[in-house]
Amino acid sequence: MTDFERCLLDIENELMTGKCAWVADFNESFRALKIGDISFDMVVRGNTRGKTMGFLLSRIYSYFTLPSYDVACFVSCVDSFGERALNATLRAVINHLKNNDLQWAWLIFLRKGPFSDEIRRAVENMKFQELGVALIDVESNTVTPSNSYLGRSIPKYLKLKRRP
Amino acid sequence: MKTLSRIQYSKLILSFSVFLIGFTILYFLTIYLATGSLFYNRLILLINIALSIVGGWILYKSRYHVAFSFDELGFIMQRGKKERVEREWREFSRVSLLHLGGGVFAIRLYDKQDKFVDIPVSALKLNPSEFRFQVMQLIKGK
Repeated sequence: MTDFERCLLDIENELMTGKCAWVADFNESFRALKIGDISFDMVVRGNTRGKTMGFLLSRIYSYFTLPSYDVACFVSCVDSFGERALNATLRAVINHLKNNDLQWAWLIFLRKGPFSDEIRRAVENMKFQELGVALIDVESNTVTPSNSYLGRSIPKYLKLKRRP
Repeated sequence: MKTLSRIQYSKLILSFSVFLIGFTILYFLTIYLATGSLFYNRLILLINIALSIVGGWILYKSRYHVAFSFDELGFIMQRGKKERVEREWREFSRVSLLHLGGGVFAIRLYDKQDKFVDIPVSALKLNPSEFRFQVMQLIKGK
């Protein structure tokens, strides 16, 4: 199993059965899904009103208190990665959000080794309200989130296992 | 064709409990209407348990039991007595891993019209993630 595959499995587990349940009920995961011209290694869909979590009281509580927003998490494994590719991916995700009535999404880029300063600065300066972006270096587990509420929530809820 | 069929103990216990509760209520109702009082002894309990085991097993087999057979061309899924799905892998275009709650997973297969079929992998005691990749390969025709 490659480092990317291991990392994708970790993210999938965290989203579907881990701490991310506090953010949304991510219940359906697709692999190698093409959206527009961009192929994502993993896309996990969910809803902010949990249907699969908890038993009776939690479900009644979530039904009456939580909004029912469809959300998603897009994960892409990249090798060499420039600002052009970043912008194309952002455009594909934002179009997908609009076309599929998704309220918000997380977009995560995985790379073996550090991202370039140019890309890190571009992500750190992003202020999309409906999109949280994060760059994850799978070798050092360093996360660079975008400067929005959704972006900052990625490292808070998505904890990757440290590997020796 | 490889066939997978595992007993789902949680569903079997559920079926047994439904019958045991049903028989117990029926017994108390009958005895109360017949004699005007309620009494219960070990023999009645044993008879109720025996009937519930038989009834529970029949209910489980007719409603919940899943048998799944597959090869490189297609699959046959039988859930209970009524629901039978027989499809070919090439009819599907997308595969997803679906979390149904409480650690129960299914593999969802989407066809070209976006209609889907769920394979209850947790009921078959398969590793959901590994089986998803196997199904993806089968759909690709590899």
